[in-house]
Amino acid sequence: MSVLYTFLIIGKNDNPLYEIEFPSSSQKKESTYINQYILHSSLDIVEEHVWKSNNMYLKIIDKYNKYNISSYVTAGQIKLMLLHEKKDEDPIRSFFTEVHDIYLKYLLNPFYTFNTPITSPTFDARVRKLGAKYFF
Amino acid sequence: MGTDVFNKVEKINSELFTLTYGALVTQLIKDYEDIEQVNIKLEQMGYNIGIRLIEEFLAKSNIGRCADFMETAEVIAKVGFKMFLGVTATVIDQDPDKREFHLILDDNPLIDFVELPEQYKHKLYYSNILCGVIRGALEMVQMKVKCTFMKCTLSDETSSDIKVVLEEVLSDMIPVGYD
Amino acid sequence: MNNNNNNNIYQQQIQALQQYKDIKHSIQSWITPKVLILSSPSVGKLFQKTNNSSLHEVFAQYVMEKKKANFKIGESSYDLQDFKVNFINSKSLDPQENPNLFKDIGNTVDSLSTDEYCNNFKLRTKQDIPYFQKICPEPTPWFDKYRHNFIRASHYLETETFAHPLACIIAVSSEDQNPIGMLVKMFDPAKPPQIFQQYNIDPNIPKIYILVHPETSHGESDKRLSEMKNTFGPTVSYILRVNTKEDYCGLHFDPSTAHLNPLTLIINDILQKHIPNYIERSMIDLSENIATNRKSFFSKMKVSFRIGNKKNEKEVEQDATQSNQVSIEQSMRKMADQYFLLQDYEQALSNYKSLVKEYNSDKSPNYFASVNEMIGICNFMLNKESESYLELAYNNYQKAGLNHCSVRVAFLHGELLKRKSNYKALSDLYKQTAEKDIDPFCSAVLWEQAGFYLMHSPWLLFRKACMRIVMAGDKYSEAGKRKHALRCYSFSYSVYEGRDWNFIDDHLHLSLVRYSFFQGHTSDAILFVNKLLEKNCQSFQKQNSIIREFLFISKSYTKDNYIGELPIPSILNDSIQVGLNDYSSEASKSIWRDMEDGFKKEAQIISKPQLQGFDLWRKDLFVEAEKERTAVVEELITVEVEIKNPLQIPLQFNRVHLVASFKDTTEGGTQMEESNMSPLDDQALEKMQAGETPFIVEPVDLLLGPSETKKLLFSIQPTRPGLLVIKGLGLCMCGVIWGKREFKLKQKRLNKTKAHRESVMYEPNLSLTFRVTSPMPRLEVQFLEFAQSMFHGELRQAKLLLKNCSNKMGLKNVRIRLTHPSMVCFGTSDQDASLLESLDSSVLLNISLKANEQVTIPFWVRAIQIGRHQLGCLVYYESEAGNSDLKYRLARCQTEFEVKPSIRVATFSQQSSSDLNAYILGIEVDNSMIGESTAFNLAQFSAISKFWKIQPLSYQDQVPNKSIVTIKSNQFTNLFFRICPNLETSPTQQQQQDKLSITNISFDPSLSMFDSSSFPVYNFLELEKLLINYQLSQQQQQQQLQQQNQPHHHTTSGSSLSLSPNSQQNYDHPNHLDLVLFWECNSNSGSSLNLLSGNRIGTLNFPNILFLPTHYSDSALSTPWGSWKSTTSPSGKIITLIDPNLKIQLPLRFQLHSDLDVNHSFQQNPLCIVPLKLQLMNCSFVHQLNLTVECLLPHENVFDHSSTTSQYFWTGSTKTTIELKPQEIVNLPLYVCFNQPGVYNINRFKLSVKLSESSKDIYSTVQHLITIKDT
Repeated sequence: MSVLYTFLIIGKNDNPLYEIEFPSSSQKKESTYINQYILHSSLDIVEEHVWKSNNMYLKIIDKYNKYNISSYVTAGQIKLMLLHEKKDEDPIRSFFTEVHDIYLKYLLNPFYTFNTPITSPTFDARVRKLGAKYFF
Repeated sequence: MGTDVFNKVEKINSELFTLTYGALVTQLIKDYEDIEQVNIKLEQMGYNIGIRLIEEFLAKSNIGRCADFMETAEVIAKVGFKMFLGVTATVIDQDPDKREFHLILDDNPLIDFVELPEQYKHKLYYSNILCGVIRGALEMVQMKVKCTFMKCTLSDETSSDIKVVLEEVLSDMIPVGYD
Repeated sequence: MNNNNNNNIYQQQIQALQQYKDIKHSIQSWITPKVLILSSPSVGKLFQKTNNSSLHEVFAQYVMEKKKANFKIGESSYDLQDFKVNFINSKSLDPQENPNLFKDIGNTVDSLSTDEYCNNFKLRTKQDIPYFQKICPEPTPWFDKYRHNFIRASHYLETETFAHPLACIIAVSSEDQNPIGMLVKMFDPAKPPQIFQQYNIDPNIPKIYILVHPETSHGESDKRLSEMKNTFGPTVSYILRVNTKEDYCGLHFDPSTAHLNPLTLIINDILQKHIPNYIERSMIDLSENIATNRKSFFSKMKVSFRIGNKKNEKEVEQDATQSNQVSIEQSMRKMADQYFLLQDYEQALSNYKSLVKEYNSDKSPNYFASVNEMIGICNFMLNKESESYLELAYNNYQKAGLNHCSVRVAFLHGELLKRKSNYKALSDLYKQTAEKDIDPFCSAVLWEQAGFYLMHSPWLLFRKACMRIVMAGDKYSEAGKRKHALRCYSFSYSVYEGRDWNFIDDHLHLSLVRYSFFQGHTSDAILFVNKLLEKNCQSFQKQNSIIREFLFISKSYTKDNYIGELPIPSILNDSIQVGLNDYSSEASKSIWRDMEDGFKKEAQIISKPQLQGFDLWRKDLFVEAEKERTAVVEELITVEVEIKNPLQIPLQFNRVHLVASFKDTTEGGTQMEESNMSPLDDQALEKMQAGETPFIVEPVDLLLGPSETKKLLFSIQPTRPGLLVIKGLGLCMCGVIWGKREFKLKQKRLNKTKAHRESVMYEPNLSLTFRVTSPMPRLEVQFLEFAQSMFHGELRQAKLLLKNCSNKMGLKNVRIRLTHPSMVCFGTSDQDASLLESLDSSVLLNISLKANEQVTIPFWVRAIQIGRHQLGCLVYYESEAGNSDLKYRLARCQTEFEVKPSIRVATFSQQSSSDLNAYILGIEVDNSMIGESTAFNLAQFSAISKFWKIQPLSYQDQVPNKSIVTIKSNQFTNLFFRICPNLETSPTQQQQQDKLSITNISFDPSLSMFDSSSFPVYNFLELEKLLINYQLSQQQQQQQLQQQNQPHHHTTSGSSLSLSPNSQQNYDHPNHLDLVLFWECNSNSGSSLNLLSGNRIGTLNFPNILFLPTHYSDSALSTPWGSWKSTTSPSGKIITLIDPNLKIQLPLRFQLHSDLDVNHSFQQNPLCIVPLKLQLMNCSFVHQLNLTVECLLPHENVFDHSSTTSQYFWTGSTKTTIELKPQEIVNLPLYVCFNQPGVYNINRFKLSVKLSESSKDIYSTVQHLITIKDT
């Protein structure tokens, strides 16, 4: 099955902190690298929107052919980006908000330094759970 | 007993407390890059806290002289921890000749949100400062103890387990030069 | 100079490029009359010769200055200032050929392509963009030219007529036979070439017939020409003379005089006669055609609308319209196009406008599109608003799937957008176009443009831009344009670099590796390969290819195939373990450390401070600074390390070996650094074997499966003294390229001083640095004949084998330390070795071994403690030559053995009542080994003491009978002895203070006596004493602890306790002896390690058995039978229960002697006077006693009996003061007097002893009854 959602957390320096695909696909297909390009490139648009709106959830900000890119920017300029085909606002919004919560919790872990890749298995597990909850 | 003492002492925001300690530990790791050293340092800091804390402890919780080491254990677990950490520990398997016991911490505010990276598990004793505190405090009441972490929940172990062994009872000499 | 040239050339290029900027120019060069050139094969051959051009190229090359031409269309006449034609050949018309066509277009700009936009610029953030645009205003200079060529060459025969040739040149060579026939055949208006019919191109275009005549050929050209003129008419027949050599074929004219060019004539004719004529004519018929058809056209429409049922008819009609050569739309179109050709844009526009009504976007999008396009273009030419039309055109082309046309439109539209500097839209337009299925190069160019225009957009969307440029890169590589590809990739790489976008990085790295290699930037290629392999989140196949590529690249690049640091395999640095003779491995350190430190002290080598008590908490301040370890020439250093293959494919490594650097530090020796960082190829190997290298390494081959980890043991052997540093591993990857992997050891972060803390400083990790010292002897040690299992107390002989493995050097003063010093005595029964004076000193064996010598040292083992034991033996030795670097060396060996319990013995002693200075000693022996069948025979019993000897009491004959002294399991026996002073060694003779008196009592006459005073028994006794004292002192600390544990003692108890351990006062107490009980048991183990063959024997020692002077009133001593008991517990520990306060007793004993029955006749003498002897003894060996004996008068009734008790009186002196020297016995005569018969208890006297401070009164409590009988 094709990857319906690609979720990325991107740090201040355009560096991805965390990446996951729903439904998670074990084998790497070429599409994945395109996805990264797409998400990375739509950071530009995110920046635009950040200036315009003052709420964290920025809806669908960009398109690439059949893909839509939704984004959610935390106060600390950490960008949550989702690449998806279906246009369903609400689950995405709540997905973002909950991931944001988890992220905030995780920030309190003294062993996690801000703006570095998130390797924690527990964090990963939590996000997967959310993904399953909202996207399937 | 512990609770009303706990109500007496003034509180600070727990997150602030936890984060502060976390920052401390991580900084130590940055500075030493050697977990063994970090454990030692933590213990020493704890010691320095302990030798001061005991005063306050005795003052606030007007607890008299303990009949024996086991009573000491109970006081630490039930009053000491409650007073300063707001939690209580349970004392288990004390050996017959009353020279050692284990403290089980089922809840430890120091390790809230903390997630130990793989490479530190079973090496770093994150809350080792507690050992120091206990040692320092008891030393002030003439009990020289050895206090070590046996288990730590952060290393995916069932519980946090501190082992306290009485090494010798000191005569009234005040140790000097401990800062 | 050369530079200037280049610059000039570059300038010229720029100049040339300028013309392409103007899109109108492009349009005009696209929309211009085409002249088809058909040439016979032989002609083709002719022109092949000159750099295989062809006739139509010859024409194309032909530069023409602006030609004037004028046309009369109806009443209006046009004269065009610049009128040119495009010469095409039939190939360029054919749609099949399109792909090649586009390729050619692409190739036209190759010369301009660069492999970077501008050098050393890295795009990291928005802020860099303006700078970039400043330094590199035009990143893609080739674009305009490409666009120009693209537009110019693009054509779509079906809808537009610009590609339709307006004239046709037909050329034959005069070498063809029957050229005329050919000419006719080659283009026959009746049945024109296939394309003409397909896109109904008007075949009746003017034809020009050319006879190409090589001068060399003999065919008479003029005749042919005239023939042609006859057949085709003079105006259209030409001859083209060419002079041919075998390799070259050029036009026959002098370039300086251009007008003489034979082509000029032809072309002029074409431009000024043929084409104008044709156009004028065709315009006329077109307009007629339209006029006639319009009615029928509309009628047809009406019909078709009104009478639906007349379908067939209508179709028929339509067929008819189809069949008559051109449909009305086409003619309209053609007309419009020709107006356009005539640059009458107004007319053209009106025509197009009217035409566009005929089409609609659904039925025939392509026509619709192309007309709209034209409208747009016309408007554009007239500088009117045209975008909307272009958009229409674009979309409909898309709909019709005519991608290349849409590209063309995009180019035009793009230009417009650019002028309005609407970059975002422009970029998106290009992107959208590029994504369509079109010529890859074209799409690449579009992507690239899209990228750069995004950067101009107000938001400077550089990320998007970079993505598009990457896409361009992909397309370029698809089009096989490596230079372009590399440029794109490396430009956008900077945006992603170091931001770990794993997939992107992989993709980019991979591409960068390829193209930088193709472009010859091999160093970059390698750099990227490394990055690639470090990351490795690729699939199995990918990695495979990467590795192959990597090997290939590095092989073709590096000199002698050596590429320095390899990216793989990964080395687990924590796993590195160094094995060195003189140092114990981490694992077994705990056993040896103390002993090593001991030797350090003995050798006066400072070791780390001893910490205890409160200082322990900052022990980190006292850690010893690491020193590099000392290795010895020609001795192997082994390094154990784990190697992991990070990839998912198996990797093969050959000649994996340690890589080290060597520094010659011998005085005078040059400080030269030698190292074998270079590959260990064959000649290096030879050099090494030849011993030219300062060290020798052992290469191994290695195959690592996918993500496999292997533990390997490498060895290196230094051959000269100096400083050796092991750097890492050198290896040959897949047998192709050489590289190395460095060991990165964890360094200790320094934190002691302020400076340390403020900066990040590391303590150098020296575990892989070795001071290689000159050759040393090497000792190997080994236990021989060491019993694995012994009984408690058993004595065994064993041997220690010392072997000097060096074949040059001798070694000397060997010292030995043991983990169980009290269990071993070196030496044989006859000659004993040096004896330990304290447990933590070492045994010095006066041995020195020459090279290759070996010696076995016998020694005795005595099992003191029950249980399993690890006996470790650390041997210290020095080189005979002496060595400053390495004062001494250590050899290790260990063995394990078990000690089983044997008999257990308890002793007890008490004063004898029969004699003043005699005591009773009882021993209780029991065989505690339950279930064990071994029986122990007591062989001998020895007492060792300064002053005392023992005599058997419990049996009369000089040996007890066997039953008593053989103890089966669970039996026990008691033996009693009498302890009495040994006169010849009584302490009064000072000179022989220290001589020992030894009494040996044999229980078995068959056995000869063991000499308990000599080796090894005595030594073991001594050792055991040492051990006991040690343990006692331990015990006492324990006891103190115990007593302090009661919290209420906290304040005081500590100080009040007497800290003097028993052991001390045991020594100054004279009344003690050491007992040794020899047992033997005949166990079946026929080992020959015994004192006497056959049986196993052992000794049990009970040192410091105390027996004490008693005093009646002494509470401590009035304890019952069994006082001063001491037992040998199975644990081997001796428990001696002695009251610590013993030393304050009186060493005074006394006894009253007299005859107990006295017959006396009171008639003769009313008073009976009986002499008594009071025997007083001072048992002490040191103190002298002052005492007064006072006889109590009867009336002073001490014990107030009933008055009936008869009285007695003392006579003579009743008070005496006596001074007793140590050990002195004094008989004090007393006289007692009775006045009547009876039984008297003579106890009315008092001894008052003066002690230093006080005096003590002693009253006799023992009855001394005298019976007086009257006779």
